[in-house]
Amino acid sequence: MRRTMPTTWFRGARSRQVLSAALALSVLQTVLVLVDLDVPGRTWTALAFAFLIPGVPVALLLRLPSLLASAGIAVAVSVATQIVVSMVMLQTGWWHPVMAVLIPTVLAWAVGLLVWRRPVLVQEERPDREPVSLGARLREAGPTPWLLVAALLLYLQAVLQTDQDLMTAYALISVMPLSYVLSLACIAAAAGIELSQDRQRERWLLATTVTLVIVLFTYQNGSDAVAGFPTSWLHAGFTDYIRTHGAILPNFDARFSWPAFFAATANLSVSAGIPDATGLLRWAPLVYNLLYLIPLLLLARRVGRRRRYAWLAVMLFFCANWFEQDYFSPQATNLMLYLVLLSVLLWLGIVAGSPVDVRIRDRVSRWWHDGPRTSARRLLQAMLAHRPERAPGVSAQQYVGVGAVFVLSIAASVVSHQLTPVVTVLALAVLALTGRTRLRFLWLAGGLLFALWFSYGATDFWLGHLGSLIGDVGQVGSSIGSGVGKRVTGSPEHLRLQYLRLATSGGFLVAAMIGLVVRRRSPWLPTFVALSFLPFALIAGQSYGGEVVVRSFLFAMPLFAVFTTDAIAPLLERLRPVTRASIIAVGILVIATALVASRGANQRYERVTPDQIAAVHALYAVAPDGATIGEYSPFNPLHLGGIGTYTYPAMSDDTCFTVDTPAGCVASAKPDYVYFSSGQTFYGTDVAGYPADWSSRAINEAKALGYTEIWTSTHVTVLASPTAAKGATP
Amino acid sequence: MTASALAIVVPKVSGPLATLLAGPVGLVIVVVALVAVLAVGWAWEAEPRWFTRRVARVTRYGVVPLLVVAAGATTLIRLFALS
Repeated sequence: MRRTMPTTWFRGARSRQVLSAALALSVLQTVLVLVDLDVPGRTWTALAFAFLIPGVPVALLLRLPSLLASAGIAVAVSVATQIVVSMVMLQTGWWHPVMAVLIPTVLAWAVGLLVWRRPVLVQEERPDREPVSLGARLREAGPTPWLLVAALLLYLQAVLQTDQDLMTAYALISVMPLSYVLSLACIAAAAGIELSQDRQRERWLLATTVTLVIVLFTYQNGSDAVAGFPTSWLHAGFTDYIRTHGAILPNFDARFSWPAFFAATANLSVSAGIPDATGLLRWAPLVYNLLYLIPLLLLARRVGRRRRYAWLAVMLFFCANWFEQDYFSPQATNLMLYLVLLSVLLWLGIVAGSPVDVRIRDRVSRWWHDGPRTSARRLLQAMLAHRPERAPGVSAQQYVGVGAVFVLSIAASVVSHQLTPVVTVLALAVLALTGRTRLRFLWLAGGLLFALWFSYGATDFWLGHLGSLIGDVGQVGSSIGSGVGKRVTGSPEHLRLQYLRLATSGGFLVAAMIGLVVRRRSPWLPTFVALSFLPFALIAGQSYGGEVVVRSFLFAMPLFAVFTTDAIAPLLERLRPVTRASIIAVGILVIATALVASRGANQRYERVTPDQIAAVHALYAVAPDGATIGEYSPFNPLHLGGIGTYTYPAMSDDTCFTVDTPAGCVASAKPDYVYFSSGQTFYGTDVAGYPADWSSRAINEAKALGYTEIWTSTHVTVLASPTAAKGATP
Repeated sequence: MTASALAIVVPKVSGPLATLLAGPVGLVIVVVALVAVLAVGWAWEAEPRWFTRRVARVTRYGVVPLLVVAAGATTLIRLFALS
């Protein structure tokens, strides 16, 4: 296996500059929070604080010989610290958002002093370079910067041109202007050019990938007035509840059994000086995908067969990320923690090299001679007995430090999400049992942390009905049925978009399997196969509903993207540079354009509009505590601000709702108010198969029952029962 | 094999031992197991002489795996007792 020479960036004077900047940020944010200064940009300093403090000093203390690993650890430690500190506050009832800034600051300074006291080991020598004019630099850069600037300008034009009110059943792609495709074409051309160079230019590959992330993951929310995806508004509601009450609402929602993300973001919203968490929703997909970039690149460089195609693997991951799990959510945060853990452990294992590689190669080559049974037994013995060497430049103390960081990261994961810790523990078990990590205790520690929180912390989730929860275990057919079969339904247009999603994931699955065949001689093959497919174990043992198939693919996709690149790299290598660049450009353009269709497939009903939010605020201004508010589906921002105050009976219950009498549940349940949003209407027509006029008929039927309009606008109508408080109609 | 054939039925456990393990005693066992695993993990890598000798003496008798198994069993008993 390959070895790399340790880099020295962390030993030189530059590390002091990075540390000074981090400590200055910590002081700045602490002052802003203590004085409660309302200055522009405070949201961004709060976000920088959340992602860098105290992680940067910790990463500098660890001195790992990889910039990417250090950057990933810095972010993971910071986020995990915020989560754990907030969780401790929540559990102990000692809710002080100011302390959620002070504690990481004190930690940062304590660790920073340790870093500062160490001598600067390397005096960085800056080679004397002749000053180069801007024109000469641009000429040297070639067409890439111009293509990226053109891409951003075209993207801006596309955002301004897009009118989501005009969406048809084909959802987002139906309103995508030509300028957006041209923007993607410019990025794809830049990627093709840069990936076909003899000497890769990391700076321009980074710029190309960041531009791709901006264009792909800000389009949905950027081309609309407010953030979409009603679940993110629900999460903002959870966050605001904790911020207001300093506690969770017991027995309200399963997500409150893993409340640490909501507690941490409640503190973050205080730190940012914003009135509620809704200010964090719109750009969350951009922030999360940029954070994923760091561990993804480390993973692609170390796991991929050819380092020169690592950036292609990263771009492919982003082009295949249709899952929409990067909104303001615990799972998005936890995916980042998981990717950092996986990439750093794989980096340490692969860089270290290992005698077990020789034994595995020997077993594989003697397979036919010794027979499969003997070979398998000896292979298993070799893997179990083996402990890999230390990676060059990484001492025992550094390994202990990395272990401590990951224990913190797993602890944060365990209290903030239900699924990710399971995948994390499985991945750690694979690495330990195949002898690929020295930190073999991590999976046991992770398992015990999970058991501890599940059995003593998340009791609301399972107390009294464990049987119905683990009744799902082993029901693979049922999980796949609800995860795939029940989702591939709806209008013909919506069905086509669902098939596109299936084709994207299926295509990457097949390509990754071909890539694994290409890597069949790698001694890491058993580990790679296990790591790639273990997320699908969730399908067999879960109580998570139909979405688990999507989540499994999401966890698998980083390695699928790497192995897909391994599958196509040998073909690309045979081509002339111009042909190679053209094929890469066309491939990225096609997959990225398809992503707009597949990722935006639900946009018509997942969209949230300003008048829907205004209607919610107007409704809550008149509705008394304890009022019932009927909704036809959860595709609305109704839960923002009403958690614990109101109840929301479903008006589409099978027992009373039919297409012929769409207000049947209104008649039987008699809610105080009924909230009709365009999202609910389109969910009915696009997914549930209702006729186009079902919503207007439901409104008319409800009016016939005595309900009156208290709000009506383009995207929402609110009705009040004859006995409900109505207030002034806007 | 049908889905229902794979379904798991949660056994109900009761009695004084189950009550004991489902409460704070069980919590202590899981925490002790966690501390033991972390300590051994640290000692494996850091190899401090004084600590390693003591850990080696204890782990020779399989104390840590036993604690982990006990923690797992305790967790299951709590889940089944309160299900």
